[in-house]
Amino acid sequence: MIEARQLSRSFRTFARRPGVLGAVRDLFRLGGEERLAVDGVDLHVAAGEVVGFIGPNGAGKSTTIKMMTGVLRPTGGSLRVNGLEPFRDRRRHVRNIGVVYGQRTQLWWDLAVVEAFDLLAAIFQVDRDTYRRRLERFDSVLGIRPLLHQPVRELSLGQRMRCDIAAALIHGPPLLFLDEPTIGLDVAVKRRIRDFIGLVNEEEGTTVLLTTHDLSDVEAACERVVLIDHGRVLFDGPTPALKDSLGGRRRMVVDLAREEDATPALVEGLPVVWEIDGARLTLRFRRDEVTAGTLIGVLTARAEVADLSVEEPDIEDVVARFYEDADARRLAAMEAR
Amino acid sequence: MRPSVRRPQQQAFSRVLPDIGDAPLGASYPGPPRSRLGALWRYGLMRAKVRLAYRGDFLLNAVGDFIVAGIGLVFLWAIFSHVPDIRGWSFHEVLFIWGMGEAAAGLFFVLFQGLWALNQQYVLRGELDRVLLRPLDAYVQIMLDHLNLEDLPVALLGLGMMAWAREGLPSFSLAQWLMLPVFLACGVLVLAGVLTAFSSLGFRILHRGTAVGLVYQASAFNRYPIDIFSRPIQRLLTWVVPFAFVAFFPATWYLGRTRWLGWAAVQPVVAVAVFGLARWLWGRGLRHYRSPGS
Repeated sequence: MIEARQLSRSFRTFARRPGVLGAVRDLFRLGGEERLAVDGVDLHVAAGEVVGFIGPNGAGKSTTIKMMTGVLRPTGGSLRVNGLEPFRDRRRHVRNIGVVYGQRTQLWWDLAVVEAFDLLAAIFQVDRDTYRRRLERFDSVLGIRPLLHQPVRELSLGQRMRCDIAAALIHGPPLLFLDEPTIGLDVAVKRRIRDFIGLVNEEEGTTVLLTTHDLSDVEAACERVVLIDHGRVLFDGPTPALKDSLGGRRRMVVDLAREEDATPALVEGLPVVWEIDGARLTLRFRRDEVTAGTLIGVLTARAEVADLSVEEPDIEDVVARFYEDADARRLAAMEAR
Repeated sequence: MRPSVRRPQQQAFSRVLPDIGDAPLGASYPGPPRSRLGALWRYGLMRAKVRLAYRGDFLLNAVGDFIVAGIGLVFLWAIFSHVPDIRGWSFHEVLFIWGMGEAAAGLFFVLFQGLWALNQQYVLRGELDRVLLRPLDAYVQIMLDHLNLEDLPVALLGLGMMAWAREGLPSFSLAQWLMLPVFLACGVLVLAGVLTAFSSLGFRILHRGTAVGLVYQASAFNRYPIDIFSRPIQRLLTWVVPFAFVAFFPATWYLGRTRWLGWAAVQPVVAVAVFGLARWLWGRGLRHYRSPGS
């Protein structure tokens, strides 16, 4: 469905000089420097997949999506979506895709929701019966009926997002792009939208590509996740594997029977990060360096253990740590320049 | 819940759209249009309805633009109350050229006001994204988004000036009558072509659309007989920004002057070429669209 090979996009950027004088000098400057926003992305998405697309701010997610939707022209590599080149075959290509931006609406500000829907149906040449059937379906899951006669500009963010999603699917596209669809939404609306994504995927076999900063979206809705930074794919695989690949640490909390046993000597020689608080010992370790069984064996031999629990790494923590590292790398790169 | 606040807007919209109440979903949809042209027609109709829904704006703009256009007429009349002619051009002759220019400008503003919004609204703020996600021509969508019926009265004023001018002109032949709408339409195309070409600079050089406004100011020249200007300006208006084709060249044929007949004859060809070239440039410019933000 989506075939991207070494897909790249560069932008010419002009560093603005500060102050009025700087602005005047900028006026007469040509050139500028090329910055790669997307740097050789390889991505293959098969029909029927739900793929989460994550990465820190400025990683190149949106630029990649915009190339796939035909809004931006790639400057390198090849890209085929449903067998078409999105930018070149734009008008045919957009009939096969639905797009939702969380940050801005696709609907017309001044029109009532139903007018916007009718107009979109006309633009995409949807026949009457199909149109009605789809509206009924959208209403049953997204509850849009009471909103239909309100002007788009009067909708709340949650209402607008429900309408935007319905609008993106009015022509029944086999491929749906969602760019941060849950940004700024409350828990109830988020859940509704995730459910809807699952439903569309199951019932219609719609392929979904979702960018988000909310990893609970990814865990709830996506079986596959692609992590991108500096315009490159850093991870591409099943969602559960993401934690391991980013070096997520499991956590073991051990309550000792006697507080005086809680000394650094207890964990000597073990590949763990440790912390002692009274009689409680907290260990962090990597699955590939040491097993929980080994740790338990060593600890019980060295001291009397009263209670013990092991926690899997939290995807939020893992990715948060990754983003922080990415920020640090970016700062270092800027300083080096 | 807040009926006193909500009602005014809803009323404004119910005037546009019949309230279907509990009718089944999708009842207001008349079915798919037969062609892409039909889809564009509905798109334009919807925009026109929205503009009409803001009645205050509509009336103010319509009256305002009409007054501005009318001032030109007063100015012309004031000059000719002091002098019998300008370089051999009589009041009625200048009035005819002026009226033709005004009519073309009025129609141009009805159809192409989107050119003013292109840089600021679509390129800098990124609304072009939405436009590019529809299976219709992007340029046409932007123009329809800004369909501006308020300036129809200006076009009518121009036609009125032309009608008034006829009392001092030789009577028109059948061919001249038949060609009049063609020249007018092509005049609009020349204006649109020149300004479209300049607006497409906005894809590469980010700016707020001032170039379009500046170049449009220059189109005021199209309302005067070209030979009252110096040579360089005449060449500029013929070859570089060919505003002389909007009204002056075709108008001379109706005034019974033969010196510019050749220019008048090629006006439709020039118009189509200029507009075609401009659209091509615009399409090339689109490749440089950067789409702001995430």
